[in-house]
Amino acid sequence: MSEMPRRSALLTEVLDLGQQIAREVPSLAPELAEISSRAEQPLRVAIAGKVKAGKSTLLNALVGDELAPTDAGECTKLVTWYQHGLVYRVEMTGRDGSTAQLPFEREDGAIDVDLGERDITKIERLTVEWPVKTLEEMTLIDTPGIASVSTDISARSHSFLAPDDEKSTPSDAVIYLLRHLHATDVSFLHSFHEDEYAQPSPINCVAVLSRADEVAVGRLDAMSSAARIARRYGDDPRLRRLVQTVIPVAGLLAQAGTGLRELEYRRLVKLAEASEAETDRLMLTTDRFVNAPTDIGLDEAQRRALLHRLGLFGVRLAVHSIRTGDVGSTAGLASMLRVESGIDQLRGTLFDVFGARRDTLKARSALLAMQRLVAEHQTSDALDARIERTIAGAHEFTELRVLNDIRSGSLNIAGDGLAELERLLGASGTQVNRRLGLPEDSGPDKQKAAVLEELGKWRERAESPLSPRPMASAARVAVRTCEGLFATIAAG
Amino acid sequence: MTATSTSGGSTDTNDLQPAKAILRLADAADRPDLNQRTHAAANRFADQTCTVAVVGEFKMGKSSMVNAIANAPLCPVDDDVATAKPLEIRNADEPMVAVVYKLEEDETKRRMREIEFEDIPSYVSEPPTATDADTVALVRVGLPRKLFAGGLALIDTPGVGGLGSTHSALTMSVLPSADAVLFVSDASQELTAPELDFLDVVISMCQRVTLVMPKIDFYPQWRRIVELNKGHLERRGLDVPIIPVSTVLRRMAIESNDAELNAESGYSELISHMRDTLVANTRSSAREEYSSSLREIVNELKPQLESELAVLSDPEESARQVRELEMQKERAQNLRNQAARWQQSLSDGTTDLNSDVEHDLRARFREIVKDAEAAVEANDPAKTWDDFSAWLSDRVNTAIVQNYTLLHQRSVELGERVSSHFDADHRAITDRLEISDPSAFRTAPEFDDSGIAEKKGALGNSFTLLRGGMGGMVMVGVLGAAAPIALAAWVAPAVAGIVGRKTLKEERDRALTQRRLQAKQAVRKYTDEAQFVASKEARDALRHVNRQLRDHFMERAEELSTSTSESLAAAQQALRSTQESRDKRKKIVQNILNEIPKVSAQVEAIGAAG
Repeated sequence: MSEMPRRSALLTEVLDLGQQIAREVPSLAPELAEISSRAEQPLRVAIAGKVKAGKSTLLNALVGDELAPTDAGECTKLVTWYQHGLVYRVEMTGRDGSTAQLPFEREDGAIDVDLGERDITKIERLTVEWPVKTLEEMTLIDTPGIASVSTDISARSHSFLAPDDEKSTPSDAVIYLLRHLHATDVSFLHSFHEDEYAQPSPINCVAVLSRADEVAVGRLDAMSSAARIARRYGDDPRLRRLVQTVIPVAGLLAQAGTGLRELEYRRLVKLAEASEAETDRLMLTTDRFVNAPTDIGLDEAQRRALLHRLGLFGVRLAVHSIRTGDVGSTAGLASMLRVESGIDQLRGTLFDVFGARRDTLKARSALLAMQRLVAEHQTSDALDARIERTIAGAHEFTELRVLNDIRSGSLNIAGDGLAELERLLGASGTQVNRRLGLPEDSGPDKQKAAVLEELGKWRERAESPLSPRPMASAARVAVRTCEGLFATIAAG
Repeated sequence: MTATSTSGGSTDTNDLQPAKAILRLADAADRPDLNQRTHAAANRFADQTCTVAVVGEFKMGKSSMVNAIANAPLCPVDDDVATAKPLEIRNADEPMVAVVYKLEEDETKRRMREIEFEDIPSYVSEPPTATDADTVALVRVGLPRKLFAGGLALIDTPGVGGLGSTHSALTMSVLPSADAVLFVSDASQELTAPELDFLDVVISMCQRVTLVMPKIDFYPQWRRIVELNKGHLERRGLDVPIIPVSTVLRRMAIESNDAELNAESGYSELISHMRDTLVANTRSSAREEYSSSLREIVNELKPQLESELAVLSDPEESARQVRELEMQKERAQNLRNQAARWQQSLSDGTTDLNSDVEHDLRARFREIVKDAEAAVEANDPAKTWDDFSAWLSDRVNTAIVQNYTLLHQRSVELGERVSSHFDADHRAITDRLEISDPSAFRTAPEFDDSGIAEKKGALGNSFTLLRGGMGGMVMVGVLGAAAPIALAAWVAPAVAGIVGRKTLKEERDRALTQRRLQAKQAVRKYTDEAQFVASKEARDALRHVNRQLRDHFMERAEELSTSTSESLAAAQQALRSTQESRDKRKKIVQNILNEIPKVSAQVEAIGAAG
């Protein structure tokens, strides 16, 4: 799918604007250069959520490698950036702006950073550079849990994701993890979105119902149960206003699915081949699974390792699938675990929502940063007005606003056209076929026909005197989108 | 308090011995009133239950746990749906289930209606679907179970921390009447900050708290989590025992009747903890009350008989006796008088209590309004209203519950004060005071900002911009009504360029100020209404308390008066009767008096056993 050229045009325009401002107010040049360079970098996606929501596990699953340390107790205490680099490197940034390279080792898979004698409260963040392909597309940021008993850890996350001062939010988008929908989750999401242009905004935020395998406490239908809950949360008006969508993900399964070893598969086969009564007895509780005496040919350490990798639900699911013959190889099991875990769906959504809109989000972040910068230094009103004009003028932002309004319920449009409008404006992906609701492989002829049909429909609604005002104005935005789409298709 | 078809703990027959003896003595002494009181005390003792509330955040497995304890699928369990109403389980000879309605005005007893077991979810599942669900305070289930027959009642409460903020108020309202609390937090992770805060509140309202950690079958690291929780509790200085349990194992243990499995599930420890520690504690205080009631009755019986005996043995003495008894009778009659001192204490006390509770409520609401206005001033209400309104309604409900706790505590003190006019222990009434629960103030505050244009995104912005920039209703009229607003979004930047930034900023500030003003009005309106409702409920509850205390003490005054009249009549009778009948009566009275020390010893033994 080719990127729509218009979007890069917006980013280019924004960057040009930055250069103009730098020329007029040379004192701001260094900051502006930083904003520009940030806009060139991969999208920054922060992973946030309450304490023990499974943030690090999910991060590892997304990276496809076990980088972030995970533990049963509260574990992540520092904001940690995982970004693409040519060499393996860990750097620390202090609150005073100083940086230092840190020694580290990989133990048990995860990266163990040696902080030495450093005071943890004086560290702003850690940056891990790792030459792994998945980090080329986006930089992932692991954050400490919210609602942690140690308040300073909580505060660290809060100040990173929703800074009190006028600093721009350092991340472009957020994956918010929740286990159940708590009032604290909603208030946190609110504070994250508190800026003028993306008021409670579902644009740059996707929620993940994490540890989805635990929802049904180990029943085999856990994932479908989790999907049902995720759908309900996704429909909750309070959450709709804040996040794009809610996706159930079992991080542990995903992590296991990404790096499943032949050895582990063979051990699972041993379990599956034993009598059903025997395995059921073992898989009843985690204690039994590890400690119960059995003659299936796995010692305690081996069983403990399996449980650690897959969790009780994962073990049950794997054994069940091998036994029924649904999977018959390491690769088969790995892929089943990934599909079941929901990680592929999340990846797809991230690509659709954040990836395709990367430039728009980047442009938006850059504009917001510039605006704050200009306001801070009290330069001329003209500059401020120019930034504002760019913000108001870009059709991409207008689309986002209308999507926002639909989500927030402030756009009072009756029922059925709504989902269609959301899709057209790019809610489920900004590619032409996605917007038009066509199959992925549809060619230009089909696209043209579809776009003309949509155009007619929305033009009619926009111009009809019977359309209520909010509908007419939203329809007008849709018309403009259709025109843009048509131009894109025509240009090939 | 208890339903006719349910009853509390079984009572050891030994404990009923002294009551039986006293009944016999009272009959022999010709005192039907004492007979009645003895019956009442014995029944109260037999009915005494230890109410254990199960609380915690939602989706922690509270309902499964209650089901596992009761060994019956009573509370609906679902991966998604949460509990909406308290469900109480107590002992009954036959399984039964009823809904208990909220106490209405002018009602002294809660109405109940029997329902079918299948109907339970329509009341306790979120959201309740039964048509009368709004007026139902709780669902009460009676089950023939040995554990409950031992004097235990369990209450499953709605989980807190979810989006429905009224739930926490509902849970809090259960706490003051609970004897003990099981705080549930599953083994998936250590206690979080909100949970520990909630635990603090729970402990402040009910001392006896146990932390139960379900789902240990599923989490390999549960022992770590238990240790971590122990650490958290210790650091806060909380003395809370922890019991980890597995509902899955418990279910299997019951199916296969496997005691070992039951022990592994942790439920045998949990149940013996409830039986041996929680219930035993409640029973020992019930025992104290029972023994003190009986002591009182014996102490009343004894002087009457002694004076009668004195008159019977020495007729010379009789005249003095009669005089003294007449004086006592007059005193007792004074207590029945409207102008009696206890009546005054009660009515003064009620007035004071009324104004204290009212004052407390007002102070709390003043605080809320102050905080709310500060919050409005610090934020843009259009952006934060949903959050804000949830916060506000939570604060209001918390205030109502706290006010109610004060009301409860002070009512008990009032009862004690009034009882000091009678030389007797009146724990019986103060323990049994029925005080209606506060109903959560459900509605959320409303905020109508339709009158203030600038709210969201481009549409609002350009609209106000045009009005300010072009200075004309004309422009607004043309663009606003007929012409497309979306067009305005494109026009806006151009116009902004012309009129400059000033107007836009001013317009924004103006709109913001107006929104804040409007938000503050909404806060006032909401809190006023909530305060009105809460204060009315508090007044009704107090009126109810007053009526109960008055009735109780009036009855006691009547009893006292009867008692002295009886003594007087007996003395006069003795004075008039023949030598032969006098001797006969003397023998009876002497016999009873001889028995009293033995009965007294028995009564004391009951108290000592507790």
